[in-house]
Amino acid sequence: MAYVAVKGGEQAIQNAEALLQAMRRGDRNLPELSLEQIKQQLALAVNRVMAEGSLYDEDLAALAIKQSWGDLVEAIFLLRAYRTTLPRLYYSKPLDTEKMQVQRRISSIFKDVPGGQKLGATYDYIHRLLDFKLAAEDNEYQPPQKPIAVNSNSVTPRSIDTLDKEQLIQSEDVRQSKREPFDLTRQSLTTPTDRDARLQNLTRADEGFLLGLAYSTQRGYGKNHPFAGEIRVGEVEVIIEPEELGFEIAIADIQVTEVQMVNQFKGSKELPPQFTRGYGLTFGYNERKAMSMALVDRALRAKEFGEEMEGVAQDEEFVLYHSDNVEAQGFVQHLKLPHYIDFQAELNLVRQMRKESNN
Amino acid sequence: MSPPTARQTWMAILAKSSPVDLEQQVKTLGEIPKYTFLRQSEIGLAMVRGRAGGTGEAFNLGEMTVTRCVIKMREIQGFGYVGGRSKRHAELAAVCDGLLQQNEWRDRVQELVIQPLQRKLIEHQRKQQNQTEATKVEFFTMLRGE
Amino acid sequence: MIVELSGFQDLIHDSQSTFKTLLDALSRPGSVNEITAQLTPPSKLNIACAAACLTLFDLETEVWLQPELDEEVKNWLLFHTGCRFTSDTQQADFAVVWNLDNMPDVSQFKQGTPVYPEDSTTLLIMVGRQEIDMPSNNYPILSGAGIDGQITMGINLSDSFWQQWQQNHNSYPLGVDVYFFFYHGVIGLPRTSYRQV
Repeated sequence: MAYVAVKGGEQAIQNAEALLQAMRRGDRNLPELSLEQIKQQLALAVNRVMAEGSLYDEDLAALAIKQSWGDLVEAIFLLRAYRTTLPRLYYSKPLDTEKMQVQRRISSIFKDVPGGQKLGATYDYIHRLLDFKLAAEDNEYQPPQKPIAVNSNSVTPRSIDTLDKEQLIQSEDVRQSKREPFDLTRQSLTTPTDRDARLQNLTRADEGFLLGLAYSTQRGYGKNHPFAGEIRVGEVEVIIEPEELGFEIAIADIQVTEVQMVNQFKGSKELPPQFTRGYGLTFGYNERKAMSMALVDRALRAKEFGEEMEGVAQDEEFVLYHSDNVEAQGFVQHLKLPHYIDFQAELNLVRQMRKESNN
Repeated sequence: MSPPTARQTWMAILAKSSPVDLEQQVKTLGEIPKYTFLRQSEIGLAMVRGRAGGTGEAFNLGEMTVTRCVIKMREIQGFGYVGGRSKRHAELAAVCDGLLQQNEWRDRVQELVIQPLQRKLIEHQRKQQNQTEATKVEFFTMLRGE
Repeated sequence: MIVELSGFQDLIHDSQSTFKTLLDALSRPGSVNEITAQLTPPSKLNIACAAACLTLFDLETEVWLQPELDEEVKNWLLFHTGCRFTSDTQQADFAVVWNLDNMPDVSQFKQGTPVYPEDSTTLLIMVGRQEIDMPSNNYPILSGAGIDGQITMGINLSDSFWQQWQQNHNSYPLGVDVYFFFYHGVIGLPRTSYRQV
């Protein structure tokens, strides 16, 4: 099939961009959105864009949201594109989430957990009804305060540690990690995968896609009886060790969401009956995403535990190759580009076949 | 991280403070010695890592923006490493690190820069802790039956 | 680690212009190209080679240094680029050579694979300046991709190097690419170039 270049539409394209810019700005009599407004008042959107854009920078994420006219998948794309322009200077030490400055921390398996249950800022226990008071402007709300005696970087122990002590849960101690973690920004993903590759893929994955998969496991497509062992949101220190300095230093506190799912496991030939784990960790306050991640992480461990494969969430090839919304939107949306010649060929083929079948 | 050294502590405070606050405190120092750049402020990325289950196998979580800078002041090198993309922030952090390594400057910089910034960070942290504490669940058991 | 010397004066523009010069040098093999970036390199690196190192190396590149290159060079490169060092020539993305006569055979370096032929070592070789302006009969004449007919390359290299080079050229698409540096100048010798005899 010959390749035919088609030219034209330059003016139309320029005007389409100009129109987009003007529409995005909206009525000029209204004040323009500032990045600071987006960062504070649309913080959960900013968090999602940072998590799936795989780049922690609130200012850039806010800019991406403004530029994409509120289209978060487009904003994620913009952030991913930007990160490729920067050199990677360091690898951090793995985050120590036990030392998290907790902003929210709940466990749905133990009522009494060391450190207590703290609801933080959440929608969970309020009526999900539209609040028309909010439609008016000049709303003012005072945050509640309850002074605490000590102010220390105290450790909040993990609520599933008690199961670990009794050896009732699969242990998660591979501190003597043998090799550098897989990095899908540098290596191409091939199956079968190890858990490090899967966790990196899942934390960048599209929230909607993971949510659907997580739901499918609950409805029976790869059942694994989950409990939310612990959910915590808060700030953790990022530590690097620059070689030219020769010692570790903290460079920032970043907000993350961590979810430990606890799943029942009947046991196998090798393993006694016990609980197993699914893990979710994302940048920012992204609870639904982190929970979905933990459920899918557990589902993808089916092979490791010798479980029967009965759901799509257990199929790593399906999950990992379709989870990234930057890749997915690119391939789906490329269909908008001219396919005049391809289609002409198909059209001729159908006509030809029709003619032949009529004869 | 084992208990931080004095230098690790001040570097963390310089990194975590806002560039605006830092600039303001550095101004209070008055005139400071001249310095040159051994490595100009440079924006890049750090790959942040986590562990499966919080304690297990390490994996790559995602990147964050970082800015670094190294200055040379007299014969002292000052290092700045800060999260975000503010070149000025990294430069000022490096300058303060350089000053804090000099005996004639250490106390002054501690008093006029590090301590005020630290107080501000602690205050912010305490406010956040108090807000979170207000949402702590106090369970009580109701007597049933009888 | 004590590093006394700074890197590029103007990080962004110096590294971009150096990169452009390096691209030009490999695109037009044998031609003399000038690196304009200003810096004070460690004593065992010439300016052009030092600028190329700052431009090409980063956290993710593995660099082989000829053993004669001292700690000063190593520390300087580590400080300014964050590169990793290897003593295994088969692992090296780049190799910095200070004495060509004492270099391992070209075939000892990473050759790339049929799927990723670009994943081979790039050799950064420093040579003393010779009479570049006055080509003599001894100077090698190159042909190959990017050369209009032939070009005289203004540096003398040993016969044993050219024997190794012929072998390197023959193993195309695999093989190494080379930069020669002297003061501010750089000459590229990609695997596609061969010497006319």
